[in-house]
Amino acid sequence: MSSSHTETESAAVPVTMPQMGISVAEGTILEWRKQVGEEVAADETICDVTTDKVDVEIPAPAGGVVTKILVEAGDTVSVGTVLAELNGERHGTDAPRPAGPVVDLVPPPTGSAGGRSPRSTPPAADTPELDRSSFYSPVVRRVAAEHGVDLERVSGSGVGGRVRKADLAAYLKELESGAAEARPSRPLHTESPYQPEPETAGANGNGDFDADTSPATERREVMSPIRRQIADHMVASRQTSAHCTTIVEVDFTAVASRRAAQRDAMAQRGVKLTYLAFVAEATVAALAEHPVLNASVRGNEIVYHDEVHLGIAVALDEGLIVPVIRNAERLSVEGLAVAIGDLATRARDRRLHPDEVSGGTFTITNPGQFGAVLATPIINQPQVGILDLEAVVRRPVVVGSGPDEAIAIRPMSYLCMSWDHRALDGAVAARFLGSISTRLEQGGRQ
Amino acid sequence: MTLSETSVRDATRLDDAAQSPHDPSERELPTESGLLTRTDRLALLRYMVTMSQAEERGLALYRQGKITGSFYDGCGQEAISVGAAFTLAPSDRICILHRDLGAHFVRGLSVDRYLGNYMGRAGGVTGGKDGNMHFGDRSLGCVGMVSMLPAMAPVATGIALAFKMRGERRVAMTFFGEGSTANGVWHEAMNFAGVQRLPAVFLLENNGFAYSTPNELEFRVDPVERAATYGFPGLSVDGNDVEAVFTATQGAVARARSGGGPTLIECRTMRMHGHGAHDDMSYVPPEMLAEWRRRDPIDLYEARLRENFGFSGEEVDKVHREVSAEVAAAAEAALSSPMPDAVIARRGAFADRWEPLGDGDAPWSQSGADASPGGRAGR
Amino acid sequence: MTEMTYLDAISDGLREEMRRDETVFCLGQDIGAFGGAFKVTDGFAEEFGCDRVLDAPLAENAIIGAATGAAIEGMRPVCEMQFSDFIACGFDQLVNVAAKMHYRQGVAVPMVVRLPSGGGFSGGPFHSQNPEAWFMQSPGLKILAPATANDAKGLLVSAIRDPNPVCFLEHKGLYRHVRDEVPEGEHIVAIGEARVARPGEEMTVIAYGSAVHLALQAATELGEDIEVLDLRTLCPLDTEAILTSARRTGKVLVAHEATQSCGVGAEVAALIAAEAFEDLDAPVRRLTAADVPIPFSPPLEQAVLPQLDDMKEACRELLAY
Repeated sequence: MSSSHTETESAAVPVTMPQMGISVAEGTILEWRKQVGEEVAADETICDVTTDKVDVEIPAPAGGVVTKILVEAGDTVSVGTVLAELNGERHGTDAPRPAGPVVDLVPPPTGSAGGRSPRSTPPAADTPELDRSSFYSPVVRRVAAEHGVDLERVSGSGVGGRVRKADLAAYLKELESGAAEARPSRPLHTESPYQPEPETAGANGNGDFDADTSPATERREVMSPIRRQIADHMVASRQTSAHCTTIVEVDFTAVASRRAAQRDAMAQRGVKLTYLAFVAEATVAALAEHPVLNASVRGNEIVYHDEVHLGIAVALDEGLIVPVIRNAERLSVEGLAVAIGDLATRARDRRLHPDEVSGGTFTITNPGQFGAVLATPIINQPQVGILDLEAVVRRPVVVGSGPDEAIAIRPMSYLCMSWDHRALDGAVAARFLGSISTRLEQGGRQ
Repeated sequence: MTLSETSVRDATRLDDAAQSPHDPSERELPTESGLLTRTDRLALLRYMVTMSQAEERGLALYRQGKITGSFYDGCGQEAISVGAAFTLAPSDRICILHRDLGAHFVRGLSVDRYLGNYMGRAGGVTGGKDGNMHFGDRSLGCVGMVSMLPAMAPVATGIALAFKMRGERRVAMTFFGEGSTANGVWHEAMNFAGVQRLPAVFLLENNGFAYSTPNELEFRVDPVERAATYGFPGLSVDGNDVEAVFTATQGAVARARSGGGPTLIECRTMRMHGHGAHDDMSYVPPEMLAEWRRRDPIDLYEARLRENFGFSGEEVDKVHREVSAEVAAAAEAALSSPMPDAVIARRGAFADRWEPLGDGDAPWSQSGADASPGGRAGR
Repeated sequence: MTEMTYLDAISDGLREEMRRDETVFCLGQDIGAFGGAFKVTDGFAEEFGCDRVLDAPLAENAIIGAATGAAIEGMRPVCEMQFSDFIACGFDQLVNVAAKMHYRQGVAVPMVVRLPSGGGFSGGPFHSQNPEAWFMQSPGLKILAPATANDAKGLLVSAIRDPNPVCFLEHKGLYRHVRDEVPEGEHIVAIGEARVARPGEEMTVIAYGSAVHLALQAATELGEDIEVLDLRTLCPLDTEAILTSARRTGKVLVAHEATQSCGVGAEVAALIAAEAFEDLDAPVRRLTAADVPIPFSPPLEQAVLPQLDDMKEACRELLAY
């Protein structure tokens, strides 16, 4: 029992079935040479074992007393099975160690051989996760092309936001069942910056947060899904289009008098006639003259839409939604007024059909009721222009010319259009706005 | 007729230049065989002349650029392949090497298919798949060689193994040069043949040089001495004497056929041309070549035919003329034969079925008397 | 049908063929009286005689070369390399003589070379190799690598009946650890056909030999919809089965115990990239041994050979991509 080894301790020492030969999987106990309670010296034969290759005497792995016999003579067990236990000295290095971390005596070479992942080709996501939301795998491209799907409308659940085959399949399935747009595809709409927002650090849009804000002075609120959607879509729109804003000043005197002339008659028909309807009318006509504003950018192409599907922004409590007036080019100012009123009402009542919030080719937003006079809206992708009608304010303006020049008080407003410089240039934008303002100032007649 | 068997000699013997195996004066066996008829003798001459003239024509074509790759010949060694192959029965099998063209002709190959193979023609023995002497007409029981020498040695033992397992009285024969006996594969093949007592006949063509390497850099002990260590007889004959080769080989074939196991027969000769046509053999002492030129196997045999066996000069000349015409016609035919269609290049890596090798010609008047018929095979 | 081990299935197939066809014989070291290093031919010498179960000298070139010659003459030799690693000693005869004979000379060489392969039990560098890729580059050889006892028997029978030289990779680790249902009597599995070991839709693991079992276990433990395609034949590859599965799932992991560079996995991956590119939803990945000799000490060996955790990790990554 004595031992001159260092690090011995008394412990349960297992006697296991050894591997005798490369292909041997099991062995049979022939005979136990020691019984429970008997003492055995280290290396003394403790039992006889047979496999189909050889018969072998098993030496005790340590000196000690046999405390348990777990496998009887005549029984066959797998290699590695504990056959018995000794209560003996357990040398520091006796018991087989489980495979622990490997000490590399030689620094591993670079590359896959001997490297961190020696067996598999290095995973793509070794580096901090990149944005892969615009990367489309071959099968995703092919299937999308076959179905005419705009991949920018499909959200991805793969690594880095990648659109996976399964994501596209789910999207297609939803399209079929008509529920595709219930979840607003990105991007939804241009929320405009004129909604009062609490001051937050990092509002310049790159998502960085000021880590210095101490917990005691802030209140945290998780974004609602629609808020989250709008946030994503606004950022995406900014990153997609080359945003510019052009502003034209419009004298609404003529519009006011037209409105005054028709308002009561329409009211009796249940139609609310607003300045917005006149602006819509003028805009639709101007789009016919400047078709590049009724287009989309796809890669290297500008896709001109034959029809005008006019989006009208509606402010809800939780965010903005943009129902679309389809084929606005076919509507009179009354038709537009009817459509605007109907869509706004059903939007607030959450009764819009998914088809009605998609497919727009140009958007008008009219937050002027809140009093702001200028704005730089964000384009509603995949359109190339958005027109913002701000407050109509009575201002002193110069009228007449020459000796008749005078100051008059007129209802003035700014039409602010953000447009995509990829598709058109400032001159075109200005001319387009000029068309609108001219129509409005001349009483809206075509 | 007896065969003298070598005992293990003193290994230092080779250091004595006078005892070099290349001493042309050394003869151990009778120079004529009672087993050959007049017709046989004429045939032996004819095959040697055919080999010589066919190779001469091939060399000319090579120098004319009509043969691409390499050109190898067995000039000066005609007696070995002809004398040895002449002993075979139709159902015997043979792996033929690059200086053993005579064996192909003995088995029945026509000259045009030999030249055609060199020229890569569709009608060449391998149809363009392999070149120069890497061919064997399977319909004549010949297996084509592999470049890694002596790769055919174990293959011949395997063929012999099949005969033994099936209890057939058939023999496998192959050739190798003295240089390739330095290779481990040679040892493995000889050893296996000896252990299993296989019906194999091994012809060791000791022509003095393995490319540029002379014997003294290939081995310390003449390889024929090693036969004893493998448990079978080794004997040494004058490789330029076609009847000596024939006699020795015939004895080995008879022994093998009757279950006596393998024999190693060293045929001492000289390679009269370079390793290949691209080799000017400047490493060979000119006086050595001059000496061996006097011992040209065809010249020697013609002299013996006239002096000892009553052949007329006209009979001998007639053989030369006929062969000359045959070779010329063969060259014509090969030159005008088509190249292979490229579409076959990707075909044939795998076989659809196994088929037995065919039997070769056996021009010897007494061949096959006690041999098993060929063609018996597995499924 | 009987349940038998992979090893017994090989014995069974060999025994049945030797009974059926007297031209079939065995040639290898220690296979006669001793019954073979792994006991595959245990009892064969007694049944078929020492003349048909030949104990060869320690000479791999002689074994392969003699088998070649015998096959040319119409015998059906089944030679055994004691460990697949030793095929290197008979490489010339196999690659230059046997493999090229039919292409060059139109002469068929119907022989089988049995190769006990694979590691995982401290065999060290010379008793653990999976050398099949060497022979993928040697046109004229067929190459088989069964993973199940059923396939081991059926493919060996096909190999023996094939008129070409066939390398038969039998993974030693599977000998006694794999058992499944094997038909008694004549049982043939066709050469050149892969097998769907486990159907799935989300990704495919293409594997052979020991890696098939690793893949199946990983798929079960992950509980994911993973397809496992067992190649069974490496040459000629079942390209149709490979492409069908790759096109359906769009995500492929090729797995084998052999080392990575220019292994069978590289060939399969290149095939998929060339022919199924527009159906791929992820890059084709491989899970293989590292490009080093197989080390002896267990922690080192485990760090080199693909383990279950590696398989699960690779599957997880691909599924998430």
